[in-house]
Amino acid sequence: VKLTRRTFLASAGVIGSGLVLGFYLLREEEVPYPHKIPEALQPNAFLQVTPEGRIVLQIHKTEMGQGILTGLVTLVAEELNVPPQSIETQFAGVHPEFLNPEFDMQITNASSSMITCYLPVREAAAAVRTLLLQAAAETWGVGVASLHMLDGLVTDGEGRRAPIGEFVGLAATLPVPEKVTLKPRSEFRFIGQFEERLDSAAKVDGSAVYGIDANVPQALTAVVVRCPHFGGRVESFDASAARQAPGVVDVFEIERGIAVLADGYWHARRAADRLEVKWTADQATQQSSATIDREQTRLLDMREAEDEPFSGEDVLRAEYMAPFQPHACMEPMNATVAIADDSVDVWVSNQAPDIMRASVAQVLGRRADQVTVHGSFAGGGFGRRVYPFAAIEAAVIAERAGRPVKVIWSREDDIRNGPFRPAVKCRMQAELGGKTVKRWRYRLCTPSLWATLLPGIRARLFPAWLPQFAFERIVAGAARDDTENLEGTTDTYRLGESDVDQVQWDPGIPVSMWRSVGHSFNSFFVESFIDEMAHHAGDDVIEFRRRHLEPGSRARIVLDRVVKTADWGNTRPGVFQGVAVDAIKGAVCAQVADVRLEGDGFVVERIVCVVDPGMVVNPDIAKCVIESCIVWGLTAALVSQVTIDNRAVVQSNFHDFRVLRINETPRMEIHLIESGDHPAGVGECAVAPVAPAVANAVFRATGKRLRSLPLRL
Amino acid sequence: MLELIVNGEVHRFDGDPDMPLLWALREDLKLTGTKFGCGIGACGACTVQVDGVAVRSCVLPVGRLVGKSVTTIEALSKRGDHALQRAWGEANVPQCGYCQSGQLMSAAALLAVNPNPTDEDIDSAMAGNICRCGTYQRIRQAIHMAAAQMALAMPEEVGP
Repeated sequence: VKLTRRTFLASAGVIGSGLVLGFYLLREEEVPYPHKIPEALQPNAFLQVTPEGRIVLQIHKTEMGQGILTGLVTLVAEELNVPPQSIETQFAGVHPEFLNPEFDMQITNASSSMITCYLPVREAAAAVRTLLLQAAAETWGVGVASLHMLDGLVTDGEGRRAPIGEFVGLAATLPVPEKVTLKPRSEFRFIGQFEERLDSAAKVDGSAVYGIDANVPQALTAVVVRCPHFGGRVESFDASAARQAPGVVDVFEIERGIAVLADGYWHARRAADRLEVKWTADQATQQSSATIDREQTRLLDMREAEDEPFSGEDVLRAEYMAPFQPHACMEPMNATVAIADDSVDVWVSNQAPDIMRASVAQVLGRRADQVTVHGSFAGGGFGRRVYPFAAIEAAVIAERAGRPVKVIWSREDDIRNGPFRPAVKCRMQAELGGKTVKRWRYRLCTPSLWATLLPGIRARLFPAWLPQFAFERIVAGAARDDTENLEGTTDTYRLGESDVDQVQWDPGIPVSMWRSVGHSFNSFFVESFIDEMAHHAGDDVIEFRRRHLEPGSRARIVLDRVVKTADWGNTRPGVFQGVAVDAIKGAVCAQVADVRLEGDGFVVERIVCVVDPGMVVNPDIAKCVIESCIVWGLTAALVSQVTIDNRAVVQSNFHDFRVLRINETPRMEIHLIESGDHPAGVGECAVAPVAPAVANAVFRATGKRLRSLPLRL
Repeated sequence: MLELIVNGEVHRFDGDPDMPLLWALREDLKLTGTKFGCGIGACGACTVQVDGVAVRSCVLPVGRLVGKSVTTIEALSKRGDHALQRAWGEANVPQCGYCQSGQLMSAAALLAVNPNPTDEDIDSAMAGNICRCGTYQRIRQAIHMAAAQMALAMPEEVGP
């Protein structure tokens, strides 16, 4: 399902109304291309070539670890036939040509970058090549077909050669071609072969600049003291002690808490500790992990009472659950805002610069085109950096302070405020006929992700004048049609007659997209239950899976390959294996986990992972990202969770919110099978199968079925 | 007023001696390669070396550094070509990269005392450095690569 503005409007039933339709049809006015270099050829927002022959690419996606900077450069290098290292990059600003077609926003998410950029960015580069060759043909009075571009030179068949820069002036006067020819795959020099990572150099010597490194003259640093309880607000506060702390410049209330401004982070944080705040309590969110669990059980019971029961002779039932998870990006949330009379500058590591821009513009009452969002590397994203909360805080505080302000969240702010991957509970039933599933039912109790996402990005999607009732209608409609939470339930296996549905309930804890979204829990539930069914049917877990996968399907191919590669069934004594498969964003992934018992628990020794990513642009970066997915998934499978007590998050920092460390990381073996001619998304592809593969291995080792994350014996 | 020796240069610091070194580096000296991650010494993003030993700068008061020499990622090598930095590039270690300054400073301190570490040595020296991108396997590999490179470059200094 595409998360576009049109989807929301359609789902809310307001797309036909004059009010919102008029807004939807508004066209963005002509926006100048970003970072224009004088004299350069710039036929589109992506690329420029200067008379000196410099090739400058705008990186319109957020580089947050997934390697998209290198990927985009590789696409351009291929079409321009130059080494990737010779292309300069700049983080782009906001521009309509950079909109993600899957989301209607300039957003880097959902493993969509290479899926949506593979052709358009090559086309943008091919247009540059076409123009330069046309200009060369005109200059030399020869046919374009006789010309060739290689490593920054234009050559003809007769020994004539000249640097591409010589043709920039003339090329800039030619009409931009509407159709271009892309290089055929058989002639690729870089796509699928280039395995360097271009941003490594800046990331090993400290020179890579992240949002938190913004160095803005005269800027103050602010921390925000937030209510420890969800839904609470400031009732009163006493700042007299905080104001006297060293370095403090000001203390005042903002919508989300109390802002403490000082000459640096440490002074601001120390002063914040001296603040005395009385918070209100919102009774509607009086929750703990236990009350949430009980309510989810009650709601699933109610739903079960409505559902027609499975009455066959061979029925299997199971209940599973998964906890809240924060993203815990290594770079804590932060933003810097400087406000001038007619312009606003924003530095923020983010996944969606136009959400940042629109949100800051709206809160300051400016036009979006007055706000510049400066690009930077982002220290992780994982879905968290779509939200503009830190940027809004910095804008509000900077406006009141009359000076530039950098807001930095502490790690405690990050772990305690979320938003989180939701805690969910699931019930499954299956009716088996021998070794085949005849029908199955899936009931997931979950909040809507879209309903909680929309208020956070409202400024980007909807005009300020949109009445609250209309917005609420849109949110309700989006929630009703929200299928995001059910992703990963039916994408892979054919389990007879399928009845998959959700019971929506919002416990008042903020939730969000989290790397692999619904797959992160659904795949754990489904793949564990498949294992349960196989065991129940007295079948081999591999044969049972094969029986329920389409013959010849990519899922069955990766399953067969992982079984072979992991030498399934031939482990040394004391080592037990489990398997799982998932399909996400066009990629298909199968994993085998090798587990051994140790003490009261178990140790994951090795993960063998086979991915069919369609095709890959940079094979080694794809493997890096897959390893990253596995560690991410294993962290959630083994150690990490956030629990709620007394309306607040119990954990606060890396001492009690555990993530996997190097000594806990198993050996990983990654294998790619390229089955197509277009890249799928790999950024999330291997997250989900880890937990069920490990749980299934633990079952084989112990006979104990672990139905809740993190996995504990 | 105290004197801080950072990357071989003497800096006058007239702030609060209780301030953690991390913020003096980032905000006063504008050495932003050293990163803030947790503020409690639990993630390693802020790792620097003090007299060659890896320490968490987010919990180390500036006042404790009198007469000591601080090295940050900016001075791990002059041209970004320390064997570890080269190995990091060759093994495609960095992803988001935010934790990598700290990882490298911990790894460099390890190799300085243990030029040929085993996987277990690496795990125990690097367990204080979190990477949310999960680059651990390649960190291990890159430390082995760098150790091999350094052994080739300085054969006479290789231990038994």
